Amino acid sequence: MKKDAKRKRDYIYYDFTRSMCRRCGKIIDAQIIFRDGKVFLRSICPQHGASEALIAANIDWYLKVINTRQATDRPGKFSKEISEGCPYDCGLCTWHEKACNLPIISITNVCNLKCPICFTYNRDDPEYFMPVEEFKQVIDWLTASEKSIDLINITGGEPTLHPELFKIIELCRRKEIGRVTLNSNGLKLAEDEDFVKKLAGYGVYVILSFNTFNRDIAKKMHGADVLKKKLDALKNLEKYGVQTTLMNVSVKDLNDKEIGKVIDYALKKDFIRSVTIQNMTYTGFAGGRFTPRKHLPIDEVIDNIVKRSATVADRAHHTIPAKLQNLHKKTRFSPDNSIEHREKRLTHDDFVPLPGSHPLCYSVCYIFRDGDYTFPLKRLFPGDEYYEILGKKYLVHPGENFQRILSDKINEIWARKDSYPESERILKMMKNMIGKLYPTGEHLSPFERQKRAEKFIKIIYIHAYMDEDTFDLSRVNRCSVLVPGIDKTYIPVCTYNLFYREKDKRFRKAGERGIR
Amino acid sequence: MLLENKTAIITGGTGAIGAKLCEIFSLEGADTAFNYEKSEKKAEKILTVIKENNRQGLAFRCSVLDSAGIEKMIDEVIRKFGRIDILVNNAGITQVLPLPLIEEEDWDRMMAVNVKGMFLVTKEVVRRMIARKSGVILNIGSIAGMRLLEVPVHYAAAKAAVTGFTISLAKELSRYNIRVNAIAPGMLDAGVGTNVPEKQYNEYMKYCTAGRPGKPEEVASFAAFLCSDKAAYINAQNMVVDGGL
Repeated sequence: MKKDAKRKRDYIYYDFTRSMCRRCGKIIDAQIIFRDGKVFLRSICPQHGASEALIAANIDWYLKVINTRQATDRPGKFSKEISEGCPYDCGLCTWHEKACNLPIISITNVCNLKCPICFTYNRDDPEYFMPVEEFKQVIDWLTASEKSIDLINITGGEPTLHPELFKIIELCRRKEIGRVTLNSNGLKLAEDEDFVKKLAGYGVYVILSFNTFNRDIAKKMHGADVLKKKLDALKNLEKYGVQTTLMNVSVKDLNDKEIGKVIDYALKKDFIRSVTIQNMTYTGFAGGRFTPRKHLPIDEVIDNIVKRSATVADRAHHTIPAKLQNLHKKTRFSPDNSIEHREKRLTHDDFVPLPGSHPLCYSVCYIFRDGDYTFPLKRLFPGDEYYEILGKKYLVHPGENFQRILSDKINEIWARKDSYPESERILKMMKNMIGKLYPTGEHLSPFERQKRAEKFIKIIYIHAYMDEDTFDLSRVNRCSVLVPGIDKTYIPVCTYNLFYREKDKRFRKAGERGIR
Repeated sequence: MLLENKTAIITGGTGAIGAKLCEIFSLEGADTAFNYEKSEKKAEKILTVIKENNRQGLAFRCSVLDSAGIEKMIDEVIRKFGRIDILVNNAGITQVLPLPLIEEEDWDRMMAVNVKGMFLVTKEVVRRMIARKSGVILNIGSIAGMRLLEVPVHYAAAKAAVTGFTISLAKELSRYNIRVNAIAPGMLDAGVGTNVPEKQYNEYMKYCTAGRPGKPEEVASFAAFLCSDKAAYINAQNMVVDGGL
């Protein structure tokens, strides 16, 4: 009996991977296990014992997404050979499977907030501002290795405080680069209207940190009551038509239930292109100490959205083909069985893993919109063609593949009007979009066409960063969010945060320790 | 010079091909008149180019569908230039749409500008040419109306109509010493070719022996030759300028 008890496990083993120990930082063995309907990463450090972190709240969701078709998109250039093994050969090493979709460049360590949720290692003395020449070296390397880049993300610290920010932005005006996205906490944007106007003039996209409409929660997350500043920033961004992403750090049992409200706000505003929800990551100088310490996996974020977002498809029950409606009825993850509710609001099936990333890192929902007419794009493309539309990159490219799939869909809707009772409206919408994408006698570059296509969609991204508890080398291997360095290297962002940034003298004092 | 002492009228003079036609025709010695619909600035710029080529230039803002306006324009050209030796029917539009999205009004507009407009202007000019028993008419068609290409059907149909119009008109006017030809350009890097969707563009380039899109000046130079006396033995032809497809 005793022997049986020892052999008996309270979990089901599913897979093996490599993780890291929060205490010693060493790479260690780990298991993916199922327990109580949930999925955990169980890391086993020979020195410090086992630990567990939630990586999916629903086994079915996990099994569904983990086997989702992935897009192959190997990097243009590798800098390192494999010698120490992942993640110590970062650079990229020849083992890496994904090209850079989203380069993130920190141009300063200076910030005018001390957010308790900040998950980076960020020393603030002495102040560091990336020299323009250094930035140029990074951009030269990026464009030489990737040829064409949808976007360059500039972050910090707080990058709006960089005294030569516009010289840096100017350097990104190259035919190989589609756009610049600029992270900001919004303080400068709230206070300096001329600055926002200038950003608009440069066509910069702003990624505004926006976590809550509640002042107390704002205080807990940012260390100060910044709600009014955030709202003022939004007002200025809207005034000058700056294309904006709301960056929402979602913390379980704190602001996670507000996500529906944030998405509703974004859907109503023309200048807001997307909402990116990041799960709270318990690492860095501040984030490592933040409480409550409850990991929020992607499927739980989707749950929160599905339960709380407003109507996204007024006539969704008309736009869903009959055969697809049956599919919806069979959905296992739907928390609400009312047909009306399910069809009008976002559903779990409206979200899919981003093919260019690991399925546990990114999930995305595209919402098609033309004026006040909206519906989730997945409902129109329920099969594999949806993954083809999403493509390998962070942003959709309305190129040859997109055109073929769209053309097929137009023909199908037109030929099978009974399955699409709202066909006239959808076809009108398609016609309007095509007219904007292929205007007569007006030359558009692929990037310009991409931006025009985006005017017809709202995007919800869910991005799950990893911390020491959730670190999984199989995810690192397929990371396309990379930090380019001046030494002609690329480092996957979570690896950079957990292994490299703390060694970077620009952001860390020698000998200073983080939370470990 | 190919067109020394000739007078020409070019429709759609501010478009990509139209502007080059005006430039090259005047460079080759023709007094050049043109109509346009939208951009006055472009029209002024083209007039300047014609003048820089030491030829007379005239610009008229009127649609090819406005028959009264066209008549007025032709009268004015005759008054200023004395006669019309050459007509180039260049004005045209396109629209990127698959069949299911082409509505009746799209079809009508495509046919109106590309076919009816050509008919209205030609009829008005031919009246004056017949009286002089001399003239050259050149219609700008498209490879879209000739080959197995994925192009909007209403555009292809309109451009195919240009071919029929050209051939029958050539026969009808031959007894008055009026030649009628057409040019069918392939994919160009300007004008209606500017925003050809990637799929169609790549397919074209795959089979194009030149391996590149054409340039408006390549069409315009050939047009100048076709309208010159050097091409007196060329009639009722649809000449393809497509880079070898």
